[in-house]
Amino acid sequence: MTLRGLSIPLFAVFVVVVAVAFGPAVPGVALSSPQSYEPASGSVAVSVSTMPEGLTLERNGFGSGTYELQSSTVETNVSSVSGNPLVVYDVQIPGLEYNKETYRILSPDVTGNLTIRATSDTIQPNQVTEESYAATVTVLVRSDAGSRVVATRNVTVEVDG
Amino acid sequence: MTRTGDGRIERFRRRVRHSATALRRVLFGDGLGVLVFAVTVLFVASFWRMDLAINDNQTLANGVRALTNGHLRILDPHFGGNNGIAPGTKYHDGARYAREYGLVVPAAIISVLLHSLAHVLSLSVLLVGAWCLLGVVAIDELTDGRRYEDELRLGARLGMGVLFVGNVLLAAPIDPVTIPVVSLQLWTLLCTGFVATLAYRLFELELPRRVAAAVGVGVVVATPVGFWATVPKRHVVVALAVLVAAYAFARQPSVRGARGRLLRTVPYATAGLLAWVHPGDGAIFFVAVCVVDVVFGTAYDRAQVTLASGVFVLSLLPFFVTNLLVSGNPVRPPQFLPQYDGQPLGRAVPDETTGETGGGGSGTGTPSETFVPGVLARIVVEAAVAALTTAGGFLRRAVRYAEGTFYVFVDSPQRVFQTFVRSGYVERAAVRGASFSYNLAYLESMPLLGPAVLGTIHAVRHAEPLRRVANGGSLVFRDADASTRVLALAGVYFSLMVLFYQERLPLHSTLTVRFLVPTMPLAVYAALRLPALRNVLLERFRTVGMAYAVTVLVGGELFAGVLVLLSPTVGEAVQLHALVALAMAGTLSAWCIVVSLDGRWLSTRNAGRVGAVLLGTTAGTTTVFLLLAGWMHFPYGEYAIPIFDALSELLRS
Repeated sequence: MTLRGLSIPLFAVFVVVVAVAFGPAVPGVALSSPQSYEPASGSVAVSVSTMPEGLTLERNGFGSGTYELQSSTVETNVSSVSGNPLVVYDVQIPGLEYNKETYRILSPDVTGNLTIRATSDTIQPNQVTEESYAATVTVLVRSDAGSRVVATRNVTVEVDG
Repeated sequence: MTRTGDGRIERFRRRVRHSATALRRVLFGDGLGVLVFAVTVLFVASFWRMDLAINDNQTLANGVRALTNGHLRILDPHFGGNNGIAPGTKYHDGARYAREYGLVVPAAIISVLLHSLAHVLSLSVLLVGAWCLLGVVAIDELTDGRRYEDELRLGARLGMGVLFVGNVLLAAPIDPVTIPVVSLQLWTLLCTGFVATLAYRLFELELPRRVAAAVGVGVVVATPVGFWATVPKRHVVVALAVLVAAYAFARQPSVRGARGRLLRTVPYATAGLLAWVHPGDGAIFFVAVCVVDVVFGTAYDRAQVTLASGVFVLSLLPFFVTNLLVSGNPVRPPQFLPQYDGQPLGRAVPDETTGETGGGGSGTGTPSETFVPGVLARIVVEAAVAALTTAGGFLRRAVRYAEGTFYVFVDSPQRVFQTFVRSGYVERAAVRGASFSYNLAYLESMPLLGPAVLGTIHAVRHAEPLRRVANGGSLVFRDADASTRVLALAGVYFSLMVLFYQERLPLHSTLTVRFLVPTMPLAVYAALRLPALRNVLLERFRTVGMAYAVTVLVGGELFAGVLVLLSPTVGEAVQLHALVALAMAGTLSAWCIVVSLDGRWLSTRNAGRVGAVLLGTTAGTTTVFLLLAGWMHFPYGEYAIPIFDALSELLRS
């Protein structure tokens, strides 16, 4: 039989053999499972070094029409992590009914500086009526001890465009 | 028996090989058909996420889960909100049901298969292996008869082996509760492969084989059909039905006798099965098929009428049976039942014990009393009344949609513009659901629509019956040629789809005007009616291919780079794709118009080269959108082929 006639069945058999090897029938061989987390568990010590002084609300480009917050960051320092606590960067704009949390799940090997860049939700253009809004930025920790505020600041959101 | 055991084995082998060849011919046509299928599935599976992207898929997944466990009613929903509340979940007689059983039932068969396979092997390894195997098949077909055939194949096979092992090392096990989702996606993925194969066979009737193969793949990868391949909604299946009908219409003039008669019933059988998936889409499709067949086909005789109606009624059987089991009325499909939003679930408890084996309790209320003629007559009359009521409701709904579309055209034509030409931010759409402007208009999601419109105009102007009218003859459409029939189907079907769907459009959540996706393969057909474009494709096939490859490989990377630098929102990214697509559509259409007006320019070498580059680039623009949408813009779920998970993370970091 030529190489051609044989190759496809051979490859198929190879695939099935490997699939069976990794299947439940053969104990001891298993696929790498994704690391399992238990978010908001354990404990951590967090200090905040930088928080934004103000925020900007920008109109999205290319005719997409909506608004979003220009991305902002908080810089924190984390140490003595156990379990999988969360560090949360929360932005609230009551005038726009906007509340967005961006979080990092920590694991014991994480230590030192940790920068969290906020992702923004979309804001509909017909909601944006003022030129500026009052907002609160907060850094929280969620761990075995529940939710704890590390730092918070009142800032102003300038509407641009 | 005088034969030896060897002879019997030999005969058995010959028979197996014979039926395998026959099956291959029916499904794929020839080797190139297999290649088109393999390449298409390889492509769309690269952004296959084994998760639900849209919340009305939850209903379907619950339906598949229920059927896999042996009952029709959803007893133990896993997807959706509390009690399995999800858009499209239906309620009848104290029970919850899914809809679109034409999708749910094939997926449930796959699901049963996967569940039993999961006892002996790892499904994620099997999927990755199947993907790599398709790669081997594709390379075998590609290198067939080339120089260094064996060396190329050996190298490619080793490469695929390495890819397989690498993927297995990255793969995570599939959670058994997601098997219904994977099954639904496998079904629509297979359908997508056959969309490409059938498109190849349709174009192969009039183009050189290798050009037809490229166009076949293009129908999926250079239109938004590929976008919906693994989002298990009905659109790809409807597109497949349209291509089945188109292929049957195109073949009809050349097939005579009993086979010709049977071939003529194929579009009707497809319509019946499509009603099982979605009654509305099935009805639109049926009307289009009827119009084209009756107006453009040969004259009907009594035998053909009997055959066609017989086949049609037979093909409606799954639809009738499902409706009977769900609503107790064979013509009342699940889509017409009330939405489930937490109504009390009665009668489920006594049924639960029998549900395991019984294939689901039916809401028929089958009387246990003895059958006397009076009772029988009453049942027949009741069924007839119910049927008429449902049909009346269906018609009223159709009229309402058509009326709505009429008012859109008259009162707010900007909505037609937003649906077909330029989307952007649509306030009305944002209010009605998804707030991001991540939807594309028809032209933005498929810039080849430009040439498609021009091709249609050209074909209509040169249509034989219309020319006869102009010469003072009579208007006769009968016995039209293949291309006229297919084009007529495209035109009638497109008009009907717009008539019934425009009323709801534009919507942000349709992403690529998904309701109209089934019309897109035939739009490619219409585009190739334009002589200039067709000549460019035939005579400068290599240039078109090169331009396409450069657009996807180099242009795609540049585009991804720009997006990484801009870090736009989903809406912005999609709208940037839209603007690029519009620019390409405009340029290519302008080229087509200029060349059509001034034939002399086309005869110069440069005009052809420019056209070839524009065609390749325009097709490539859509491919880049599909790939970046799959890898970058819409993150959800685990990739079925794990290396693309790594790629996606790289692009989004």
